Amino acid sequence: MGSRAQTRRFYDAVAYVVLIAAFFFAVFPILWTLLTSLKSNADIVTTEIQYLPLRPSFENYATLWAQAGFTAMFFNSTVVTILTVLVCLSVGVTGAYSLSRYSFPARGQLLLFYLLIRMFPAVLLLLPIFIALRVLGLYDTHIGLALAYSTLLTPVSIWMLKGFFDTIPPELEDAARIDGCTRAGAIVRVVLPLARPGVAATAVLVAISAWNEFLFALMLTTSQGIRTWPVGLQLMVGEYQLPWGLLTAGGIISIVPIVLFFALVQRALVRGLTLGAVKG
Amino acid sequence: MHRRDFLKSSLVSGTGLLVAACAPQAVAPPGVSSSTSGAPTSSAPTAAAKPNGLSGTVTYWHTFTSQSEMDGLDRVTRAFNQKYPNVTVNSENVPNSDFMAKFSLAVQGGAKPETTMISSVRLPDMVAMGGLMDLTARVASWDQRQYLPDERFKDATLNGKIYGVPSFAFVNWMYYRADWFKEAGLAPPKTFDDFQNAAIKLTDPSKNRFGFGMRGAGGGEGLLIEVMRSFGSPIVDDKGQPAMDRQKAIDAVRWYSELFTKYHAVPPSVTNDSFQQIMTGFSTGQTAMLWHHTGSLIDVSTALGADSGKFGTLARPAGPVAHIADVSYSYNGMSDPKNADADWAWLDHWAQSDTQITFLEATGYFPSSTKVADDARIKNNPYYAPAIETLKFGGPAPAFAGSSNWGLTVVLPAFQRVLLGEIKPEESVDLMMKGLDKAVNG
Repeated sequence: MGSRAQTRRFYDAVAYVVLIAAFFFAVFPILWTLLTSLKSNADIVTTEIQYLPLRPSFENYATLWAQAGFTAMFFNSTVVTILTVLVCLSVGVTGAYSLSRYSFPARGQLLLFYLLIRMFPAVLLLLPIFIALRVLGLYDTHIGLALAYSTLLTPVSIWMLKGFFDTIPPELEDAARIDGCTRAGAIVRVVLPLARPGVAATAVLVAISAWNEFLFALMLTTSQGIRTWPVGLQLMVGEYQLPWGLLTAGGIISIVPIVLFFALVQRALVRGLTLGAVKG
Repeated sequence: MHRRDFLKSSLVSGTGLLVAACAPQAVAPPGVSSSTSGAPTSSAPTAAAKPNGLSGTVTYWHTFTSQSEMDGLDRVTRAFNQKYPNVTVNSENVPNSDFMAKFSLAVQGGAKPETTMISSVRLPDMVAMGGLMDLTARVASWDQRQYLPDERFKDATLNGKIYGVPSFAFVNWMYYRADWFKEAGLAPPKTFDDFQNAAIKLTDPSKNRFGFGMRGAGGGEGLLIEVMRSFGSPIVDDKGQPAMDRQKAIDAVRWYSELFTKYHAVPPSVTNDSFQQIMTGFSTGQTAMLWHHTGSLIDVSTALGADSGKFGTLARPAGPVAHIADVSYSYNGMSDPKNADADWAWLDHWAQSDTQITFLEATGYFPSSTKVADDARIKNNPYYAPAIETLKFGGPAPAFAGSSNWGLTVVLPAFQRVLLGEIKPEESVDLMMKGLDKAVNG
């Protein structure tokens, strides 16, 4: 008996050690980024590693924020991310709903086709999107960039949301329609409230992807007034100079909006992630 | 809504979007200036246009990213605006690593910039895709031509046509810790023997101090090739055929590698040391000498203090057979001139000595014009003297189709294996020669 308890304790201890190690492995880069952002340049490039800032200051943050264009870039990223989330969710919800509820020819193939788009490297889609945006007059605009992101992210949204819609019994909508709801009314009043966790999870995924995207943001914008935050950070990396303090400050700033957004939708998101797992 | 209605409405809205997408619209494409000069003009011979006669905008793509580069560009642009008050320069910075992707996309999508920075290694590809305009006629009648000798156009000339104007140069030289040399009673090295001697004498592992910050990782292949040429081994001949001298190349690899393997005058991390590592090593007092080019002068000055007396600049030491230092030029060219005279004025502005010195002071990137050698701002600055000296004997690195790939995938790994003690210099040179033959002749 005692031996079994000891064995259990041993395995518990091993599990905790592994968990703590995994925690540090995951958190250390972020912690190091934060600490570096609080150091002066003299404390960053040293002969011996300086773990904690000797004279912690927010100078790097202030310098970065004061630089021409960075507030605009932050604003641009925010606008483009919001637009992308709106486009992906509006197209994703209607598309996923129709794929979940209706049976029509080539439905399976259509779903596979959405996946096919994701299988192409993004760089291959650049030229057609570039030409399309130019023709539409949307090159180098917020909405143009958001539409380009939506090309890649809408299929993911549809796949994710379809999974959530599939779990909602159609009988609930039927009941609503018997009570006088139209199909659209049933979607808004019955399906979407029930699918809220799924919608939140999809929104977070789309927002993170849009916020961090670099390639399209660089290729499909040309003026400083439209460029996004990741492009701004990348442009700070010179071939012969690397301002670690400013870069790490930029990295921390770029995390903040996503963390805030995650905090806002966290409850719905966690429910969404565990919805399938707890189904009996 | 019934299923059929739902699908029908989806079809209608989708078709509407498609029609909208395909409909011709009066949209100003990117890179198009709001110039007042009308349609594109040909490359007719012209000198720099009169300031008051020009107006409109000039778009310019470049790969400047760092603070000092952007500061330099800003100063250059402000000076241009003073000269041409009615011309606005719209600069777009593109990360160096993504430049060709963006440029190719712009060429294919019909949205080329009016003017662009051109790296010499990229020029053949940019010309091949129809991305650059022939400037031969303009250059021939240009008043700045006299200050730009023929060899400075070499990397921008293809099939006898000139596609770029040299804007600044990267002059390979070296930095040394003047204070350490003084303490040790050593004179700044002029030959490879002096250099080796100083590297050994200034090494003190107990102080974590090494004589030379050798670049044994990415970029180190170019330095090794310079050493091989200094020992008398060419890389390719005039016809672009392999021309390495095996014995001389072996002597070069042995001499260079022994700084680490025999004399331990190089940090033990050498095979992982690229630009950032060697620069950090020198800036933080771990190494006494550093081989790089003039572009890092601002960094070194900032780290060690411009007037501190801690560091100095030198021309590369002379090898046993030749005195070698690579000098490479960055060019500006026209891609899709909508406002050709204003575009040319921008290129001309970059070649002016005042502009080049302004840019040098901000970035350390050396002027391409010979006219600046007599300027007091250059002559009276002791840091620049070695660059002027290097321009007299230095020249472009040997280049052939696939040369950068050969350097990176054959020369560097073979040299790293020597540093790690896996193979001897003889074997590494055999690998390099075999790889060179394959790279040149397939």
